[in-house]
Amino acid sequence: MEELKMPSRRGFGGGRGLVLSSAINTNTYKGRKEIMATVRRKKKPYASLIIMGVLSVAMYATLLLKQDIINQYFARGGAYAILPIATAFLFSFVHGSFTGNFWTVLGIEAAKKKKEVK
Amino acid sequence: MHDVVNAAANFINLDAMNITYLFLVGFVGGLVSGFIGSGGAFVLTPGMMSLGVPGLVAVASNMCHKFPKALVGSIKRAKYGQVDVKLGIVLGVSAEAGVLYGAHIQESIKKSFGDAGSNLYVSAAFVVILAVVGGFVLRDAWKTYKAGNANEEEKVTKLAKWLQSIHIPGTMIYFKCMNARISVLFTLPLGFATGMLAATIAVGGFIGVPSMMYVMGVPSLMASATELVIAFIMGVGGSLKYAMHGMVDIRLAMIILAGSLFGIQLGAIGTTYVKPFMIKVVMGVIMVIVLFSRALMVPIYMAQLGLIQTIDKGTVKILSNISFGIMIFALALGAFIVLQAMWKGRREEQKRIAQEAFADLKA
Repeated sequence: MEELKMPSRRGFGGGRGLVLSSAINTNTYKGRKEIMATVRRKKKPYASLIIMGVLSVAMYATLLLKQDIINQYFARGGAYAILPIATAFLFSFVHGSFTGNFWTVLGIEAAKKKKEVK
Repeated sequence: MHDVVNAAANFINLDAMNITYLFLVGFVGGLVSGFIGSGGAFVLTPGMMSLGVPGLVAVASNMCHKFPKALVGSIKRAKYGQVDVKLGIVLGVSAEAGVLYGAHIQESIKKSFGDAGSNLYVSAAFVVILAVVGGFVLRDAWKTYKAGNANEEEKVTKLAKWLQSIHIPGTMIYFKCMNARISVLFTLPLGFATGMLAATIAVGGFIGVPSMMYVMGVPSLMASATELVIAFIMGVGGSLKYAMHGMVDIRLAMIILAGSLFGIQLGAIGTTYVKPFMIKVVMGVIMVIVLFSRALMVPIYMAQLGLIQTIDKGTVKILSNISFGIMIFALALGAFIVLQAMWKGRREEQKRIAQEAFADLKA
């Protein structure tokens, strides 16, 4: 069975060289996973996910635990209209970042462009 | 300020079931919105009302969730190069005028004919728009699929080519999504109609997206993405208007947003895995199914107005429940089609990348 040595960051023969078998079947899920594990090197935004996740949970907890006071001010109308609008923008930033990172960490990202055929 | 006091007093109590329900419906609505640029709102408003939320509070809270959702969705799709911000703003401004006019019509009808009259007007609008536009969109998607040219670039309609060819001095604007100029005199009524529909049935995109595709010649992926910009502009304006009357229940809006921000990002990602005609498939399917849902309610409102014989309460309840069930089904089916198409697209992409990587390694 032919083996292919894949160059590591420190070049052939050094560092963490990865050895792949040419008998890998790319038609199977297992085969594709094996190749993808060597191809994918992008760092996942774990730190950002955790920070935004904690902030998001804190904001929602505040919203639900202090709902009486919040309703009182947010439903006053007039100039107080800025409160729900500003809150919506704040939630969209924090929770939007968290949900974006969530899917990225799970590996669910936009399709990559096809390589050009030469 | 009388309505402010009433509105705050009518904010419902939230329990774990309500919160979970709103989160899930928000997620599914967001998923569909991220994909087709609109949708979800027609389920969310009646969905909130089924929890006991007064109609105006439901509409206001839905609006206050819509604009942040649209903002996040449009940013995500802009990263994929699918948004024409200029077109979104140009249409959004006239859509805002449409929203104000549409809301004014709603108020007049409500004053003259009461709740039943208002509901009949809304349902009639649903039936006409969904039948005509939804049927057209679905037929177009079916023709594309049958012709087997789903992978080919979408053809610009004859109407769009004709409108693009009309040169009215001083009114022409270039839009990159069409790679053509078009007179703002044509975009004004389209944006206005989008806003009017948003004020009437809560989903302006059912006119906005098809009009961009078929009347202006915008590719379907870009039309559905640009619609999110229009939705954002309409949402901010509408939310501000309702918030000034104290109608926004921020808890409902943010709980729905909690789910919909997961969904809209997933829907946006999904658009990068599918052939463009899938936008038409999902949109057409949802529109045609919701048509049946609203059509069931028309005889109820007609009976309430005395236009036809009274319908007994038992039958009214059954029809209302079936109508609501069909609406939920429409949204769920749309979400299912999106997820399935995305799953298939991801598998094919992973196979392709794996084969390319393996070929590179061997070379």
